[in-house]
Amino acid sequence: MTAALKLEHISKSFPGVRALADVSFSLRPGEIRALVGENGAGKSTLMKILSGAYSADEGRIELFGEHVVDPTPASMIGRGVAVIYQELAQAPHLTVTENVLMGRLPMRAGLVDWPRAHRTTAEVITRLGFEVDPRARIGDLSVAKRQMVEIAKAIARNARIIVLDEPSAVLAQAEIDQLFLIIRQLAAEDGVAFAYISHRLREVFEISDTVTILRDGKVVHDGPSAAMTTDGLIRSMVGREVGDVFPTRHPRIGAEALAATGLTTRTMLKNAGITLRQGEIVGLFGLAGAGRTELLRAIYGADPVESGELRVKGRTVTTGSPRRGIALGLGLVPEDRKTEGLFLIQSVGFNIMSASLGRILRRGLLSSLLEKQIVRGLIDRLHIKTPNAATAAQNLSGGNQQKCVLARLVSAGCEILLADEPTRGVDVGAKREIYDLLVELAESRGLAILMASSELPEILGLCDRVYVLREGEVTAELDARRTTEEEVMHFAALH
Amino acid sequence: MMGAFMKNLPRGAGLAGALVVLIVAASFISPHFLNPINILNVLRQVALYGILGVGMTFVILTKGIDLSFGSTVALTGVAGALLLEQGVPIALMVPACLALGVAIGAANGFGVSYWRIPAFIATLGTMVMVRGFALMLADGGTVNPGRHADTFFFLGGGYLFGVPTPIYVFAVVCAVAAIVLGYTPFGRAIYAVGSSEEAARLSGINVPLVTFGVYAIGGFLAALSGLIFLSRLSVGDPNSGLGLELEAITIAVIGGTSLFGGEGTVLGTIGGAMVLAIIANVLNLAGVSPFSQQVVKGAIIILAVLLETGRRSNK
Amino acid sequence: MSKLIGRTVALFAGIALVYSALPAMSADQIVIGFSQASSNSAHRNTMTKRNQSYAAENFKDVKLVVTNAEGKSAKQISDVESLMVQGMKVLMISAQDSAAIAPTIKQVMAAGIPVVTLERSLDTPVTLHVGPHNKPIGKLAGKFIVEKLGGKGNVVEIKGDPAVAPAVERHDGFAEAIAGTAIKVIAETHADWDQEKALKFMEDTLQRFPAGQIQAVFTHNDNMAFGALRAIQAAGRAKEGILIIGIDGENAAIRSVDKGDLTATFTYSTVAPEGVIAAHALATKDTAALEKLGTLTKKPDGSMEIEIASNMITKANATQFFCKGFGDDPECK
Repeated sequence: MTAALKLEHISKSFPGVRALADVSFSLRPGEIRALVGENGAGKSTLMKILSGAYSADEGRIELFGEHVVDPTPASMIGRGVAVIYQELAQAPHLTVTENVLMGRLPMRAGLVDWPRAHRTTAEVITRLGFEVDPRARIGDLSVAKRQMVEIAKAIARNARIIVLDEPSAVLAQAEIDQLFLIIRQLAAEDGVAFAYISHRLREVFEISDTVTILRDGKVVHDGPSAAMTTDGLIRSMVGREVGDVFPTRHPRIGAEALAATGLTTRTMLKNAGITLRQGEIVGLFGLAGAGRTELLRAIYGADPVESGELRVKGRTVTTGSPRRGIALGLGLVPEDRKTEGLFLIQSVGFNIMSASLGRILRRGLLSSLLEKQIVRGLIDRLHIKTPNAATAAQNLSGGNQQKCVLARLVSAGCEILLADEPTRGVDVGAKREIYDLLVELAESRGLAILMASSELPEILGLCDRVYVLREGEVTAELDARRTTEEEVMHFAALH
Repeated sequence: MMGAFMKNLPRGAGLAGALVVLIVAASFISPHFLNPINILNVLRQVALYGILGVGMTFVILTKGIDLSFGSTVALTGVAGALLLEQGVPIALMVPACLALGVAIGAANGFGVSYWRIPAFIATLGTMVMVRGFALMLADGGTVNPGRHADTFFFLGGGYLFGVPTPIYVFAVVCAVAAIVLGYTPFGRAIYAVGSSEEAARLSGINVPLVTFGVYAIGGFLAALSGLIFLSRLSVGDPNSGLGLELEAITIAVIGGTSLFGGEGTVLGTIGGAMVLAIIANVLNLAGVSPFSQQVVKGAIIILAVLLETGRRSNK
Repeated sequence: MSKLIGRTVALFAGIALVYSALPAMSADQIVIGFSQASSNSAHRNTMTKRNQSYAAENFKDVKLVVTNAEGKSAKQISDVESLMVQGMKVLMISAQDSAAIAPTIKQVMAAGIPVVTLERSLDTPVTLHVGPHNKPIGKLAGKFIVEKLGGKGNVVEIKGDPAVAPAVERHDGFAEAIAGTAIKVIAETHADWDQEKALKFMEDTLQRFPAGQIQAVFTHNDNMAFGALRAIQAAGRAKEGILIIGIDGENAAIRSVDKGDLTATFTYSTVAPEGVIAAHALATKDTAALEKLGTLTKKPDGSMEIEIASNMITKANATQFFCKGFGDDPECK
């Protein structure tokens, strides 16, 4: 059988960086191939070459046995290649139909034939086995549905090769399951070939037939997924032994640090309550839209609360603003690091000091000398990899950016850490460093940590206890060491 | 190639380079350029517009914009002239006019931060309103305080140790502004708000208060500038200061202040004011025709900003 | 509760305002409409006020209804339309934009209402235009400089906004007057009527031309003349005796001429009270009164024009003109 896609000996350089070196990558019709590697390994460059956005310096592209000369994004779409990016490029004000049939709406007498357009869209959607109104506006749909719409768009264009860039990063388990169902069906019944990029190794084993591992712009492994182990995969990705994914815990749990009872917000939370003790790492799990972020933000004072009581270190308090939260010893690692956590264009030092300027205030002015000392100390202690303290935060890797956020909270004297998806979009290697950091903060500094995550293994591997949220309510409090993924899912999903 | 070259340049290098080139070119173009009196004239221009540039820098750092500067200059000029005409002593008139400027800035700040009106719209509104107040107060014409103006002339038109007074005022403004921006929590908060409002809020920064503050500072500096203009001209003209806000924005942007907020320095703004003042001066010295002057000015502004953004985007 | 009171008060205030704006109509009065373009210059404000006060004192039979277009042509059109509704017998208009108002003026003329344009003429025939002419003023100023300098010397010209006719015409007249003499314009700029811009240009120009190289500064208005004066004084070059000539005849400029700071200014008539006198004459068909106002010319299309000549004000005659110009003057109150 002819290969659907053959990328042979592809090389690509950017000023100062060799992004890809002699990379070969192929897909058979109906094949689901995972593409894994750490950030910067060259995955996105490879995909941009496949989509026609970049041209390769060397190498050859073949689609269905045909040599492609001078690929452009338009010509690659024409040849059946569809790339679905993590940040979906959709027009939120347009309807599902307009998105799916963008640029090729059926016409009649010079006008769009809307009934036919909606019918066509509905057919594609039904074939994919999900439900959505073709007339709905994209902006009103959940992220999962938008992703499906994007796949529908690819199918409507007769895509034979679909590239999925981290599709599951924003999806809950049930949605991922549905996505996988559709992928398998399209691969088996229609012979569509998939390239699947993901950081979640478990998914790689679940969905893919074969796996290509990239490291530093080179292919370090290419073979069937079944012949691979998680450890082997990680070893190949990071190029060294990583040891266990999660650090060993030696919890030393102290007095109650935080107790929230009956938290209710106007839109999401319903009578939610949790407790948190010093030195404890508590997980907060729930499907997308269960209210994880909302609970953390309500406790922190970032969002208004309708009713409920908050006790910090035994004293009943009122929050209501982040400023007040910080004064109480609370600290939030926001969900979206880039827009809520960091001042991207500012220096690492600026970011670290921004919540604790009082520490370096002398006679009303900020002391740069003191600032340098404190920042230097935190960079060392938290192992933040940065050329220096003056480097802009946007030039750091995701993991190091997250450490800057943590360093800011440490500097501000945070005692109760509310971490919202602290390892999202972070490399495997860097994830471990963040886990280590959280464990260190809890175990040797006695911080109470409440960690919201959509990755169950992370919660079960790291936490002491876990609260499960569903539709804004706490449905279970479980011992993280004794429970199972199935049990947690049982409380998280609809009965 | 060009990218690699520019990548290694430090912050502000484009501007510094442009200034050096300008000064060298200017001294070749006109033998009068390096004449000490001419240099003092240029520095006075730097001071007059630079004060507004510094005010605008504060506002733009928070990702804002203030279009009411020119009108505020006109209104404080008219109000000051009227007060002088009534025989109000300078020691009372000056604080009164500065307070008026702060009030206008505070109104802008209130609209932007607490009512969440986009800065462009809020300050466009005050721009028109304040201009109207100025025309109302002055009854359409200029206000001539007559002999009362003579003692006040010192602030904008006088000299101290052979150097025009506005230059001292500008120096003080710059020093204070640089300290506030670089060495106070408020200054940090300004950069933080401009970089990411939500991150600033979550870091415990009182975002509305900071926003309010920068517009009040802007209004204060616009009023200060209005007083200097009044003193220099000895009349309050309600039609003066048209387009000064654009001049101030230009100065800040040439000086490396990013319209997207969070980036910019007082030193850069001083450089921006110098670039503009030198261009205007040398074109006059060279006797370039008035229409060509505008073309040249525009081109040089674009070039200066290109150099700076080129450096930044290649980082 | 307090909100309700507030609203009620606002409502009554609004009603009161509307009533006060309605003209007190009286059967035996002649309604003359005066559509003013804007109130953002002393020249226009003086035009409005002097015509109003003259009418109030001298024409008991006239009801002068004044509207202000606030610088917007669209408002001026609706102003004129509302004046028609109020039954005006004559329309006085100082146009914001000569072209934009033309169609409306055609309708007024077609309705048989005489139209008097003040200061700014229109692109359509009207009954009468009364105003000063810019070109002769520029020429007058030019001739004055030629005479004063004995036919040779260097002049700096500071012009108004290049986009409007007065600046162009004042320049043309001036250029005509100095043509053929040994007077040279050595530097020029458009300072857009702005004093600060004129000041700054003059500062630079004084650097460019050292002592003895500039004999006169010709500015297109008094405001800019003051800017030039400031620069010359600040540079310590007042003793050179550089002539500074302005146009308009602002009160402050007249004082300054008397003091010997400005050399001369040339009045640009505010058409007050000439405007309302002409309108009254048309309403009462009193042609004799019209001819007294100035040189009356009749055009082939039947329209008439009265040019109001400019007065030259120098140190010799300045005192006669105190407080007769326009603009703020503390000594006049």
